[in-house]
Amino acid sequence: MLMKGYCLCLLLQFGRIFGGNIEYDGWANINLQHALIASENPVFTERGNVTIQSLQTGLSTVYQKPLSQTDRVKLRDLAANNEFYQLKSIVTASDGSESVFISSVKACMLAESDLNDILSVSLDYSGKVVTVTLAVASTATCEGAVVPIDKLKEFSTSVYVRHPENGPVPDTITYTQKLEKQAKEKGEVKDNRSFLAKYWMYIVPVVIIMVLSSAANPDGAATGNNAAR
Amino acid sequence: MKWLILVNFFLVFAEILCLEVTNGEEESETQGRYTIEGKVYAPDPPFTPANWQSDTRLHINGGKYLGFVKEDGSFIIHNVPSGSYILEVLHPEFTYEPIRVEINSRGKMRARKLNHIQTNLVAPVPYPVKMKPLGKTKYFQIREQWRLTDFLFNPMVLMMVLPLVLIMILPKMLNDPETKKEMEQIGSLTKFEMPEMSDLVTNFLAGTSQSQLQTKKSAKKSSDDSDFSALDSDKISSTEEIEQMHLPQPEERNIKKGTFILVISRGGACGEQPPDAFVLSRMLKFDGF
Amino acid sequence: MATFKSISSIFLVFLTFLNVAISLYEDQIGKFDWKQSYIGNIKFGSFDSVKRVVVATDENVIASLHLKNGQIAWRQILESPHGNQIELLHVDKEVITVSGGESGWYVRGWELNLGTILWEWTLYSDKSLKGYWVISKDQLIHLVPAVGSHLEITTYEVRTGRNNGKTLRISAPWITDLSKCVTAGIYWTCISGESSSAELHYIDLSSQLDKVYNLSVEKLIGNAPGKVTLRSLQYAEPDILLIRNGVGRYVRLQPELPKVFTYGLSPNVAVAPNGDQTLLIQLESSSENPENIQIHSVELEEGKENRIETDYVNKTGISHIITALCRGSACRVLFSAQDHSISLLQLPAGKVAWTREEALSHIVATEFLELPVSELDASIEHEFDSVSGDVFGTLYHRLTSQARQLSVLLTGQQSTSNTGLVRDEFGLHKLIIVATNVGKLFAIDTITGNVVWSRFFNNVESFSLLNKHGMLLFVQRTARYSPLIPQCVLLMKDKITGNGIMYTFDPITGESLQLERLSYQINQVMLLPYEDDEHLKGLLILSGDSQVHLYPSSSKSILLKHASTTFLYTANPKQGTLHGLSLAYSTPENIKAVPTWSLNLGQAELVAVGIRPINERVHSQGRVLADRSVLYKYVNPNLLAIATIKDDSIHKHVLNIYLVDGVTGLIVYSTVHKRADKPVHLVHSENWLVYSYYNERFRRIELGAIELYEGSVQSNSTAFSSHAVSQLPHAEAQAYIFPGTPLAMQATITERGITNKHILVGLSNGAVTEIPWAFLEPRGNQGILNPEEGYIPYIPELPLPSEATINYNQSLARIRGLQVAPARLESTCLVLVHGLDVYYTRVTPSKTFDLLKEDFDHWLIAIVLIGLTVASYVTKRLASRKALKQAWK
Repeated sequence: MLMKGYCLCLLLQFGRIFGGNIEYDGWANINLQHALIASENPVFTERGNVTIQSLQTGLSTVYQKPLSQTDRVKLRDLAANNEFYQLKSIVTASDGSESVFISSVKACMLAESDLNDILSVSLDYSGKVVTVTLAVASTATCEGAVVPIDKLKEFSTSVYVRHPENGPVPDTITYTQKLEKQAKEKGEVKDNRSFLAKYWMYIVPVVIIMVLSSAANPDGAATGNNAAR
Repeated sequence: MKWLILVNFFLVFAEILCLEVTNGEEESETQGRYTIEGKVYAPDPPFTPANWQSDTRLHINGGKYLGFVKEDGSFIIHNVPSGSYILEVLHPEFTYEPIRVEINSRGKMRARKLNHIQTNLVAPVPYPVKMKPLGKTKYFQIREQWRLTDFLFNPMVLMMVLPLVLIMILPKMLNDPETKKEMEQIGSLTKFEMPEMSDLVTNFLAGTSQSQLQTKKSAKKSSDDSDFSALDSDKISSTEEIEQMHLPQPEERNIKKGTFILVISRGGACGEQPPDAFVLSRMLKFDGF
Repeated sequence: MATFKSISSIFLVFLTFLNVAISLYEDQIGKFDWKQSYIGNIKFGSFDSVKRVVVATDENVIASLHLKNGQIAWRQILESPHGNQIELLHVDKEVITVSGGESGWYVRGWELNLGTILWEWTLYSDKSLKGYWVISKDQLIHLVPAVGSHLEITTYEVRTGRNNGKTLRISAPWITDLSKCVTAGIYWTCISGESSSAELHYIDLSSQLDKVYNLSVEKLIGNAPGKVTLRSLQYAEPDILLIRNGVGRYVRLQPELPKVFTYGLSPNVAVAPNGDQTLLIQLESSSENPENIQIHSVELEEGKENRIETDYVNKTGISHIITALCRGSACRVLFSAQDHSISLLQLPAGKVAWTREEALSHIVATEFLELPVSELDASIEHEFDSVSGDVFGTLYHRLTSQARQLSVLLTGQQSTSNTGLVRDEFGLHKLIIVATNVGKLFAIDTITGNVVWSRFFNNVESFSLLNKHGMLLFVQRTARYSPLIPQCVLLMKDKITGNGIMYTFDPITGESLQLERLSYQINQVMLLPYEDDEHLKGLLILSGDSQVHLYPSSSKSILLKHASTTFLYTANPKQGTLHGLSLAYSTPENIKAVPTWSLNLGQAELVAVGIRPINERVHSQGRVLADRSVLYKYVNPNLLAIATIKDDSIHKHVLNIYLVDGVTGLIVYSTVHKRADKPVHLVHSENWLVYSYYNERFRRIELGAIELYEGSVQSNSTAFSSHAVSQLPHAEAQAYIFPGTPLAMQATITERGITNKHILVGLSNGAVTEIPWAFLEPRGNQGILNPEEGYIPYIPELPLPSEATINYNQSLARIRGLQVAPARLESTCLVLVHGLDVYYTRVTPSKTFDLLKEDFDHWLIAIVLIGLTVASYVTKRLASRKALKQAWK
């Protein structure tokens, strides 16, 4: 339950990034391959396909086959030994160019999340894929975990297409407007302002002392009045 | 309003056009190298450093092109292609205002005030440029100088003075049975003390402010004078003061000491010795203090 | 209420501004800062009078040095040395320089005494090719040779640049190799052909005739085997040196037949006119024993030889004589060594008057090093060292060590071995280890600025790190572990093979521990964060072929323990790719770095990479908002900031900023600025990033700031893991106009990170300015700022007050880098600025809150205390008297 809450949080956070803009819309196809035996020269096997119909909107369809029994055992062992699950993504862009990215996650985290993973596809401003990263939503890492094999059935992958945000620009317009407004105000309410600004440091202590003194001896003031009378 | 917008639009449009033209030119013609000329003025005579010319440099776009200052202050920056540049005068001791120099593709020069915020606001300055120093560059903080007022307002000094005041005056006042009686009669001592205090404070703060001084003065003066009037007892201005006068009368000398200290401290605060204090000190001497 | 709020906000702003206005007091000049000015490696030199020598350097600088002490009398810095070089220095009644390169030539005349410019003109025709320049009687002759075909000679009037419109074109098929051509006085001469058939060709440039004299070399210096080379003597007379087999023959060129002097000379020679005779000063150092220099002076006409031995011990290889001047029997010889040092030799005494370490004009790596504790303090520490549990043994140990401490105290000072390099209470006294581009290593004392020790490496060069030169310097063991000596390692590149060179040394004494020439090229280096039993941090080197090497090899076992959590990254700036590597697949036999993530930035140029300083501590975990909730900072120690510039057909240039997690390769945040160009400088600290770029649209420099927050919930407060991505940080960004040209940027760092952060910016105008982070902090789009959050109102153009200049009027030329280090005093950060000049100072971003003010009035407090005591006694007396009186009444 807790996990789900965080997932939602993550979703929201990823979702925020859709605010950015890219210049040209296009599509991309990502072929996913994974290695279920940790090795320095991993052997990648087919995992599935992701098609992003529109890079602009991030609309995508994920096609992934359920894991075979042997793959499940492999994944369980990988998780139990606290090793890395490696993913290779072959991206085919709309202009036909192909690029390969690799990514790794801790296998135990993937297993603990019941194969709920996140695929983050980062684009640059022109809509080119910069990197594809696999991530698992979690607040803590694990150091190896034994997960029942029947939980490792099928990947449920959320794909997030992430655009760069438009860089900030010095906000000169509001500033100049503010200056103009100030200049206008200065002409009108000059006296009132300057009096306060000039004398507040005199007025405030005087007032405070007055208040204090009257508060200290309320009857004193009364006698004063009497005396005056 | 409509007209304004239109003009504005035209300006932006013109700028775009101009930019595109220069872009085209830049690519086709690499030979278009121009010179920027002007004169740097030295700081006014008493501050003119010896040999300022060799310490002054001109930078265009942060040192991409350089200029050096001749003996008469003039400079020429060579080899500058057309474009828009920021011209800065660098001198370690003096500040000069940077300006923007624009060279169009035909080599026509224009100099204008540098405005980073409103970049399309053109405030032209004459070309060849005249660079005048704004003043000596202030790099340092000024150390606070020792002043008497600062010293007297120092919490430690106040710490020394106030207890003395309290120790000297208060016990005597309280010890005197007559005073006690009168105090009970009149009301309270605080009533006497409070306006006095507030008077002092307002006087310190409003020191220079004449208007405030004016309004308070009469009251303050009379309360101060009341001490003396106790001596020669001929100055009675209000009922309030008559009652106050009753306090000091039996113990003239002690009160004098007390007021002496008070007056001095106030005198210091105002930065001048009030005539009252002077009179008082004379009298005290006479008293054999 | 509203007014009260506004007042409080005014007050807040006022306070913060007050806080900002930190600057020096005038009486603090030079109290804790020092500046050293340099000029670069000397190319030409010429004595102007008996008092000074005018030099031109490869940094495109001309300067006049006092002969007495080597101090700079004046210095003029010309255009950037990349693409601009001084080609001619002529010193007469005025100094004439020709400098430039592909973008054109600048001909300038300078006043001899003050260095003021007298006249200047430029040449920017197609004659910007490599040429030769000769000055002859108010005429500047420019000669452009074309190999194998012809040469063109153009004559200009030297002060105005006026020419007669004619260019003399001479057919010269004999020009084969421009390295065999020199100018000699008004002649230009070349050697063509090989040993026996070699011929000497020369042209009188001042004659305006196309007459070429050809002569067989054999006829001049006889026949002998060996290659003949030519050397110019940089002298007004048309004299050259013909060198064969290391022996030079002095030849004076004349029309028809040159005059040859019969005696042999060393090739390292300078001509010194002395009244009516001419002296040839030779500098000789044998290759077997380069440490000793011998000076011969030969009278040109008679060949009378005079040999002088010098006491100068040169550890830096062969020196090169630049120029010499003689008055009677006294001579001054200026020579430069391979380590770029310049020395002035006085003859006949044979004494070196001064040496300038010009290597420091190009620093490529710096490291601040804490000094070891004093012997007394160390012995106190050793007191508790004994590990044996024996009571008597411990007692004995303590007694002896205390006796020793006592004796040290009584006998007075420390032993001489330490020479004052002792840690001070506040950690303000440190040693700066500096590696220079030429391969000379220095240790500089921060208090005095003096060089403590230095060491020169021949034939090394620096790596190219993102279009900058750099060497890698790491502190493997600090001076904290007293009996163990501190250890540093420097990684350089072999000039010949391109392989790495690793030099391990004791940074305090400069003692060499190991010099290893590696058999591979260096791709990436990482100082392991794990210490071994001897507190030594291992060094991991990734070679060009992706092999992992560990130094020392003993650190292997420790690394294996942490292999699964150790990652590194490599960047290829040309292709714009980044790779993350994991050591998880290492075996005890073989440490392997296996790629775990990759980034393809497209056809973009990587211009800057920013990582947070390793020794940085983040004190405050979040920021308190007006509603008393906490916004937690996203502090990811593995975060890399990357800036790339991409050429674009529409937007000209596009700047991309990526924040990448170095462990997983996840792009945490990315932003894009269109029409933004180089130069890009980047500072990454705590949870924020500041970068500068040039806005092509508005033609101004802008500063961008990004701050990352986790939100109101802290994902994992105890241990951060890059793998556990619970939520992506939420970023605030804001941009500012920067009214200056930054050359280097750095954020201050303090011991515990409590002190405010300031950003130090080295500007092109020579100032190093301090901008508080509070000025740059993104305020978001909240519209009305809540004064309780302590934000300063947004102003689009950052103010750069002159009071914020940390180097006051000591302008620094061509700033290249800024290095900061924390002092042990929390308020203080030590700063080293290097470029052509070296400047050291310290900054206190939140003022010296942990120190008494300098002008603290000790006297006043003492007087007041005494006064109070006296007053209390007096009043006591008075009170008793009063009581007595009262009693009598």
